[in-house]
Amino acid sequence: MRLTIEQREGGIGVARMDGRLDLLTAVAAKQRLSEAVAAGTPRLVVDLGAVVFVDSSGLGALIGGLKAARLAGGDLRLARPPEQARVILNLTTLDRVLKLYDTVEEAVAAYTGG
Amino acid sequence: VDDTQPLVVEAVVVAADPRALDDVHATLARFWRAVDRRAANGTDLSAPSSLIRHQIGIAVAEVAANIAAHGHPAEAPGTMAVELKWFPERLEIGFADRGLPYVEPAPAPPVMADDVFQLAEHGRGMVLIRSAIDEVDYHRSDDGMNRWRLTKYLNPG
Repeated sequence: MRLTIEQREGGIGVARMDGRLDLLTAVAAKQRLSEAVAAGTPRLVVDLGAVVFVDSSGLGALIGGLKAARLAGGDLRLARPPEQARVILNLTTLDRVLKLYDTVEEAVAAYTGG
Repeated sequence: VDDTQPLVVEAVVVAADPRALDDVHATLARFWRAVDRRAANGTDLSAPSSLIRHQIGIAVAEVAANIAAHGHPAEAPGTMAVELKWFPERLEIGFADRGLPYVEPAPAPPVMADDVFQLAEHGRGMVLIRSAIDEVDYHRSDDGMNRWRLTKYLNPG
């Protein structure tokens, strides 16, 4: 898994990852998301478009990132979730907590009210 | 319909190590390709939907992760056998390993949208397996073999 964070205006950080967000990658992903919050981008958008699989550990990383973001007055929102990610978010009912957007730009616009 | 003979079987033995999860995912992918080939060759056979495939993938990954991470800590390496079977009316997945016995953790509390700070970051694995799969059996034999069997019915009701 690779994870890059693009800083946008207004404290928005767009996190792009690929591969699997699972047992093997969750700890690093949570750390990168928390670092992004600490670096001044607490309004996170996680682009899941290239993530081929999410497991329960991967969900834990997203929840960890969400808590860090909320503590800093921001949020963590998901963009481009593939079908597998939608299924696991639905099975765990975490889709009640993590907002989903069809595109990164829609998620960014929702933060800026544009 | 003869529901005693599997239409497709895919089996593999992999290291009981989180780094071997690649092999488990690759085995699942091979299984679905074999299911698609079999469905294309048979009359009156419809291959399982993408939703069912995702539910199976999620459950298989959770069981494999449990066996690798909790059943086989660094001082207790070993292997796990995974067997995937497609029957006309169900999917059956078996795991066998000789690691530590499975101990079910306290489940994560239900999700409350109004208090994210109470959300658990761990402990969702078994809840996920049970919500994705119809029947989950775990048995540890006297000689130290752990066996899991997951069953997903394809035409419920």
